[in-house]
Amino acid sequence: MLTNQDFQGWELLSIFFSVSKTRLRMQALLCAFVFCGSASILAGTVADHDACTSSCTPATSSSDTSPAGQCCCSVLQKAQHSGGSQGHKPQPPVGSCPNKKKTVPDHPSVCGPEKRTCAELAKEDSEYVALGEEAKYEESQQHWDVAQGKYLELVKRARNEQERKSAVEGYTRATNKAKRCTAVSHSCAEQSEFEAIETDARNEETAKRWDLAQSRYLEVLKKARNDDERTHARSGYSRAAEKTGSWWWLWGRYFPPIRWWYTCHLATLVALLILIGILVSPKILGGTGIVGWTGKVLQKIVMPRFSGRARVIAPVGLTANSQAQLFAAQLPHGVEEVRARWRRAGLSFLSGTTSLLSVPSSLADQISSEFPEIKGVNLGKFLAFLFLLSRYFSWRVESQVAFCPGLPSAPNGPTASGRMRSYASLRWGWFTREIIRIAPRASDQNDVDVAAYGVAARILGAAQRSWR
Amino acid sequence: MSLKQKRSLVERIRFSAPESFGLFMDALRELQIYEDEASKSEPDRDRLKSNLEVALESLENCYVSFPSDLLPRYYLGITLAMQNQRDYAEEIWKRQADPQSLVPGNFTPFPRLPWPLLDRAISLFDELSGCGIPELEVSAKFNLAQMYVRRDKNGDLDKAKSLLNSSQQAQKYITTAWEQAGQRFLGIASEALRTAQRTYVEGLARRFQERTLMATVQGRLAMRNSGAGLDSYNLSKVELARVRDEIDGDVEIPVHIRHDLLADSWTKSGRLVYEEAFIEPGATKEETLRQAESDLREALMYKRNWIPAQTYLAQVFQAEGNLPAAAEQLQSILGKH
Repeated sequence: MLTNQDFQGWELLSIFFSVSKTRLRMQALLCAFVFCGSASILAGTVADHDACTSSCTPATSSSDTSPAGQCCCSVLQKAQHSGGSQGHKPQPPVGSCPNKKKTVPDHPSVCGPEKRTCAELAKEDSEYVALGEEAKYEESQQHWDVAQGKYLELVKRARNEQERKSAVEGYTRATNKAKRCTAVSHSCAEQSEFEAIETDARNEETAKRWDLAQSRYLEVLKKARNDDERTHARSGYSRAAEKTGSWWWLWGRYFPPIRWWYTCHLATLVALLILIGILVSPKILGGTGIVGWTGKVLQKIVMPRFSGRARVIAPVGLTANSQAQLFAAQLPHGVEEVRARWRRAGLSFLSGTTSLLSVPSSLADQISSEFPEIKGVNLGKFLAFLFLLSRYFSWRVESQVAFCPGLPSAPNGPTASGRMRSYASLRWGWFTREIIRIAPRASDQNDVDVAAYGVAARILGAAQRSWR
Repeated sequence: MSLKQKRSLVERIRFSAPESFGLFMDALRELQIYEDEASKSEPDRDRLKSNLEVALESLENCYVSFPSDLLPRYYLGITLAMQNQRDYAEEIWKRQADPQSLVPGNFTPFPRLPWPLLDRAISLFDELSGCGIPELEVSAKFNLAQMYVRRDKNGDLDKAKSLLNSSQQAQKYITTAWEQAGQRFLGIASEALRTAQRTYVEGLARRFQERTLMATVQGRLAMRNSGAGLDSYNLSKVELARVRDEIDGDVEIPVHIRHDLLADSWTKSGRLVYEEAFIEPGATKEETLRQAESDLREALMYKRNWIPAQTYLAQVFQAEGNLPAAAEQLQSILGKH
């Protein structure tokens, strides 16, 4: 590798050769050689020594001592120092490197005529920059010990005063931070864990969850590393233990409102007043009180008006001989019968077998225009969940039917006619709009038409009422 | 009628609960089955009795449970009148079994008994005649007048007369330009238009019935009022005949309503003539009874097995001494034993 001094020597030599005769040339050559070599060695040593001594600290290790005196240069430089007498050649200055003229900075601290290529210099520079970045990164991540090491390395590799100063500052920072963790002879991870448990304990205490606070303080106590921490943890533990040992905390285990009262008076008082209000409201408001009112309001908001169609869910037979399916099939016909009978009443002029006037047709029309459509669907056959869901949130008629045969009025006497007990409810979702209960006379279990008609009439009645 | 008025009317005519509507429809079903059964020549007595009782029970329940509902009250009045009609026929039937009561000296043309069902029906129609719904009020007033005429107690005929005098002419529905355009566009009349036309026809028919009833009332009052003379009575009969002719010639009224009106007119005429037979006893009595019989048969031609006509016809037969014919008519009313 050429150094500045080498370059200057060869330059002089070439100038000499260009201007002298052969003999003179030889003599001059010898003199110039000697002169240049001595000058070069002398200049290199003095310059190196000046540069080192101007920036080095006297407290460097003994191994750093060079023949030229104490120096803090790098190992490489020290080697250069030690090898400087073995014949330094004048080298071109780094600044004159054709490839590194702009990117490689001037390095006045280079000791001795070091033969390094531009690539090596660039690599060294890159490594230094990378190391600096790594140190900063570790510092930002608060990995103080790692950052400390990195900065130390930077100090070692610093190539000028400015870099050294910057590295030393970083090293000092990291050392100071690292001291805080190491001062109590614990690692940072342990410190973090300790602080987390302590914070958690304080939070539990603030929230008055005394049992949890107690266990947390116990944990803090176990992990305490000095007397201060131990005292603090012990006092917290005592406070929590005092509360958890009280009668209300123990009884509160079986009846939590006692604990609520002692932990938060206001909230418990408000809750108590609300509870009393709910309990007393039926007496003041009637019915089911506030709860009932809330339900009604919810029903008003959520439940749509029954104005369209209702579907008949497969009825349930309440007795063994009930013709539930027959009843379901009869129900839509019952609806049609209601319509037809209403129409007939409206269209008749005279009422039945009398000369009295029937209901005016204009009034009959008003009512009949509001009759909904009732369709029979045997839902038992549809098992799809979505279908059931859609049915659940639509108007439907759920019904039960039971035939109760008549009993003889006397032993061996004639049997009285039975009753077809039919129950139906008009429902939407979980709300029940109407409950229908009829028990017309029926000759046998197949005599469902009167019951179906009665249920249908009441469903239609619910529809005309829903328009009010 | 403005939309607001119409809505208010609809609100008032509605049933207050599904159960109310259900009970009402149960009763209506029973009444219609009763009507169908009664129109048979040989109806089932037990079924007739049961139908009417169930209907009355349902309406009574409805009236008690939902007293604000108007239509159940209206039909309760009608059903009470029907039950009274049946009780009346039962009284006539009792005479059949008691020959002594049919002896000319003992025979009274009409059973003079208290009719509590009629009294109740009168009070119901009286309430409804001021219910605030014009259509229902008009019908209730007419039915109230009918009830007064049927009861025919102290001053009932005068009350009926004053009620009938206050009635109004039916007003023809005038279609608006919009409705005419809609009718042209759709090709059919709208529901509202059809209802309005039916209402007009009902109004016309009711007016004929009112005139018929008024003529009957005037005739009966003339018979009882010795000072009124025969002319007044004859004028009533002439009025009855004139109204009948008008009904017959009115093509606006559908046939089935026209038959109802003519049957009612002939029945009232027969009843009037039947009463006349006992006002002017003598040689003309049999002739008058035959006339009454003829009128009542005429009524039954328009409405077969119509109970009012059959009841009076049975009475005429009893007055004539034709007990089998009377029994036949009564069995058709009450059903076969």
